[in-house]
Amino acid sequence: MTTPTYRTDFPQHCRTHPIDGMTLVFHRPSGATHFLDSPLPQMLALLAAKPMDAARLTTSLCATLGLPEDAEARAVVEARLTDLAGIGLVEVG
Amino acid sequence: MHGFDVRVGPISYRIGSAWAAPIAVLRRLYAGYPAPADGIATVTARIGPPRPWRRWIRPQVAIEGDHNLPDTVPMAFGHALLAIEMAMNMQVALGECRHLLIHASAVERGGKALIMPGDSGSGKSTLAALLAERGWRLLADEFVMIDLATGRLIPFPRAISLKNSAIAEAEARVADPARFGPHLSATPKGELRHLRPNAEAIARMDEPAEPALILFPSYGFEPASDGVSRSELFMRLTEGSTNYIALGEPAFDHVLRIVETIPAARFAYPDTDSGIAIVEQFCAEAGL
Repeated sequence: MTTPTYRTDFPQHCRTHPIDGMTLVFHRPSGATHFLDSPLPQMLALLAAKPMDAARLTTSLCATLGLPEDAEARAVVEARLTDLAGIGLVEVG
Repeated sequence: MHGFDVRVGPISYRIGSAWAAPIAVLRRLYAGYPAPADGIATVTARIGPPRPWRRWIRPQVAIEGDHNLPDTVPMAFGHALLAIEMAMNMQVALGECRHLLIHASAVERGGKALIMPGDSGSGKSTLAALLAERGWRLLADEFVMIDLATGRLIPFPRAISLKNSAIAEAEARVADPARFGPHLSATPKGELRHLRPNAEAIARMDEPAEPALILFPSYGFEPASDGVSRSELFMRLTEGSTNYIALGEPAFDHVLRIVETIPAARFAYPDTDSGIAIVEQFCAEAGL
């Protein structure tokens, strides 16, 4: 079984706006509006720069946020990737 | 089919009824409103019997029109006026694409609009109705319409739907009894009576206003007020809009503009007089 790679059309197919410490996103392809709190905008920014799997994204995200890379971080990233895939902001390939 | 055509702001209605009496009541309620431009109505709202025999035998009214919701429960014939009003609302809620809809009342003074969103029972209609009797112009009771080209508020001064204790409040403050519709008792919304906006609101229904202040009222609590964060304001404006999703990015732009440029607050009030006083204080501070 191959490890899934995640990619996103964020931010080029989105309108984004900072609001109360969150990121307000209008996703043009779906017409949906989302409020994203950390670490979701950071995850999308990393995936926008380069599609990657959950393990690589965890490493990159922990480095970006200055957090220890551990099992909990990996579990959180995987859960949030599932969320983002569910609302159409990332694609699993 | 009995009919009546009327224009309310940007909406030209063709209203139909299987019975003559509800149309006669509606004509009195909307006395002084203009006819559709060039005589052409573009939105149809109707009431009719849900089954043919219900026209005569224990008559019931069903809501119909250009846009319909399945499984709408028929209403008692005595509530036919409410059914027509609901049919008119439904056509706008489901069909309006030219303006962003916000579930709110609104009044204007000096070209600036106060928008009051709120759930049923919040007092938004009562406050708007009574402010409109004391120097403000009524812009909207149920649907605030934002022009997608200019961001201005387009008046939609429908008859105001007064419920329960608000009826006596308005009756005590509006001198002309001809502006009131009939008392409707034991409706799904409780006691209900409609109020025709005053002559100024009708005469100036084509004059837009600039959104300037948003207040969320809550009736029935001790006086209190608080700010509303921009993110909460965005959430509440969009969740109360029936066409935000359908309008897409232009709607996002306009809500964002409102959220970023217009001050917003919530307040609680125990009675109408204190509610009006709080509104006037907010408006004075905001320059309305």
